[in-house]
Amino acid sequence: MKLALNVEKCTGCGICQLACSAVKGGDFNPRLACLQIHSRYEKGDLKVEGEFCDLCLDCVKVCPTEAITVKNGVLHISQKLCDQCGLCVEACPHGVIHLSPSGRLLLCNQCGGSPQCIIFCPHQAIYKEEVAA
Amino acid sequence: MSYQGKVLRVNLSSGSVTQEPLNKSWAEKYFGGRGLGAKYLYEELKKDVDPLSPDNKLILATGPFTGTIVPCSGKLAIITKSPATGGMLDCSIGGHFAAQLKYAGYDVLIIEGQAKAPVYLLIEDDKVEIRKADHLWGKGIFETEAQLNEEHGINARVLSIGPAGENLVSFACIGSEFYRQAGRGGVGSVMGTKKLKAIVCSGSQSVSVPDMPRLLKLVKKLTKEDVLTDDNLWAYEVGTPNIVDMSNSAGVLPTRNYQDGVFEGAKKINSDSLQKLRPKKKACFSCALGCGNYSDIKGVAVEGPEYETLALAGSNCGVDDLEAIIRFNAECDDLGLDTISTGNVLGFAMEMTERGIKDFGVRFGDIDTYLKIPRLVAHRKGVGEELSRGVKKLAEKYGTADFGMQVKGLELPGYDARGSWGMGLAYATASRGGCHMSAWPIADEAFGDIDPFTIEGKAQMVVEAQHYNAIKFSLILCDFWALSLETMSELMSCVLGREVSVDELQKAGERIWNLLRLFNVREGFRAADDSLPGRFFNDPLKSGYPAGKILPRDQFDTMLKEYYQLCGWDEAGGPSPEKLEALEM
Amino acid sequence: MAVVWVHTYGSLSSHSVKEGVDNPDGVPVVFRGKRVKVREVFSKLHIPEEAVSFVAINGVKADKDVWITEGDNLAIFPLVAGG
Repeated sequence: MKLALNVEKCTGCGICQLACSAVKGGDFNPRLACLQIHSRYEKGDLKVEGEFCDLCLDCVKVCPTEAITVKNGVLHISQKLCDQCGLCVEACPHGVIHLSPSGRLLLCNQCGGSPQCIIFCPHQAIYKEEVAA
Repeated sequence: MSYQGKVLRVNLSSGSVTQEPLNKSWAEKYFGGRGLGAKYLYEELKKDVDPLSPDNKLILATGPFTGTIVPCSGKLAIITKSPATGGMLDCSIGGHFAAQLKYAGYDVLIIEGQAKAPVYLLIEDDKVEIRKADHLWGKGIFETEAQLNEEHGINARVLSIGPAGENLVSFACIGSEFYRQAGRGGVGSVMGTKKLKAIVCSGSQSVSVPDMPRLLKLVKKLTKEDVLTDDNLWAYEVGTPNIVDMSNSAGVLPTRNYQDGVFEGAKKINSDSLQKLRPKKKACFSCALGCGNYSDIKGVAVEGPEYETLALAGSNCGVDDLEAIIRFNAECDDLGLDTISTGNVLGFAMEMTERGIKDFGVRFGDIDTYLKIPRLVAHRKGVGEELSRGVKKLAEKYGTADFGMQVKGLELPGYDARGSWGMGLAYATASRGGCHMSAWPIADEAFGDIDPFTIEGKAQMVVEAQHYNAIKFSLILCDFWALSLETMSELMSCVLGREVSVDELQKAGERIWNLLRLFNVREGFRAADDSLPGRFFNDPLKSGYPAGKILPRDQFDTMLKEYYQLCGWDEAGGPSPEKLEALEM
Repeated sequence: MAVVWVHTYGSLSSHSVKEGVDNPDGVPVVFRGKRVKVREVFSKLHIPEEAVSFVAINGVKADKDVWITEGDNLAIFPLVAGG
């Protein structure tokens, strides 16, 4: 299962990114959230898009120390094995992997089963769906 | 502590960009937003500064809640000396800009001086540049933002002005995210006179709080039990257009320049009519409510119209055509005009035309001409030149002050004081002029059970609300979350890492309110300026619930006297030395 | 049997019966006899009184204590802040 956005319900409030960065990194910083929501006016229309980890596993493939693995259908990061090379950050096609200023590797592991973004979203705009085979 | 501890100071005359430490003792007493910005302005401006001169300052102030997950904390306070009133002006703008300023590392941004040629300010964390904006000058807000976002990326947020601000219209506004504004008092013209076309900001830093788990737990609980509740959900469900039918039923909907409070076309411009367009919801940063309604009608789109626009540019102009109001709204948003003042000035011009006092070429309900007016005003062409000066100056010129619906130079918003006497006091005593954002007795009088046609208890009601909003808008929290002082103090305790009591917040609210007053007194405002247009005192309303009512002058005077007493102010309306000492000012 | 047309606004609609939501006249509420008290309509539609700011009968603000009669329009408004 991966996370996805119901664009009809999303208001672009950014609370999901606030919650994610707070829980993972310990501070508020939407840029360091492992999901990125964009709700903006473009060419006279309101565009709502969500970037999530979709378990493409490019980060797993590129990690030289095997710090990123898959466990129980979600990503797992071993901060011990991570040497902060940043290759996974570059490789992620959705821009949802980050190295925090203190050197922690932040990626979406769906918070061990109860994603905080889903818990904090006021309008139930984030949901889980099957990963395409 | 959730402050960044830094002030960014930009001088457009010299080109200097400096960082300085946030004044901690001021932050302790005034917190942020309205309060802290007012303190900086009060201390740094001498009296009698011309608001459109290089000596005026534009202060953008965040608060301790900005950039955190505290609900409804996405607003930015913009403080300056008002071109419209010559007094204290604090505006509030939603969207996402405030958080970016904080994430860039700054609590407050102070802009001084005046550029020689059009510029925009670029802030990317420590990288701060004053860049050329000749290619943007003259453009509308929508195009300006689109270009700046294209150049500076999807995470950059923009504040900008349109032609109205560039041309120093007395009710020009600052826009962001297309449809959010710092609307009132001519704040856009302060940017315009400084030749500052836009401010672009994107921040990559963090905002910390001392006890994150405690804050997250509290916010989770509050969101469910205190934010997403009946008290506030009107904002998400329908938004402010709800209020059209409410005002109309209570007989306080400004109609044809406040000649009446009931509009026969209200049904066509109410929330039902807007809901038919199936608007998409849009929220400000950190807001669980999301009051923005993005509506699209025949190719014209706008996030809105808000109640104020439906009233001032709708019923007040005798316009019952929702599509026309949406077009008018979009025009104003792009040109950078405050829809409240524009609608009010227009209604005033329409009445003067119909009465044969002066032919402005536009009458109530004349949609074709009405739609042309914003552009004329923004460019100060044709009748726009006169209208751009605002109601107070027009009234002075034509001797029509009695029905020039403004206070201290700020045009009145969407509520008739004859149907809500406490609202009359609120209008008369608000720090930035005829404003509904300091106190809103309408909720309890027109939309509640409190008798609207008595002065009893109203001074107390207004004072309490003014102090409550003064602290609320300093933390910063949005008007639409009706939270208690207790809840505010709980949240403050979390983000400051020390216990903050209700008492401390109440005192701070009163202190901030007195500071705003002190600024105005220093600029020469006196009790005589705390007044209302003659129409409210002399012309009875014709229709509906308050039919036959006026706000009697002698009752108003008594109410105002009681208000000063409760505030601890003297007869001239100034804070007494004892009061200032008690508030540690 | 008589009918009163009830228009609820905003979040109050979630408390009441959702029939005729697109009808500009509102939801028809049927009652026995020639008239009904405003407060009875609240309970019939499961609207808690604390969630109501005020009501209007045929477009004009009214007391919550009054009677409404057959054919009347009743608007029930939620609590609001700001403007």
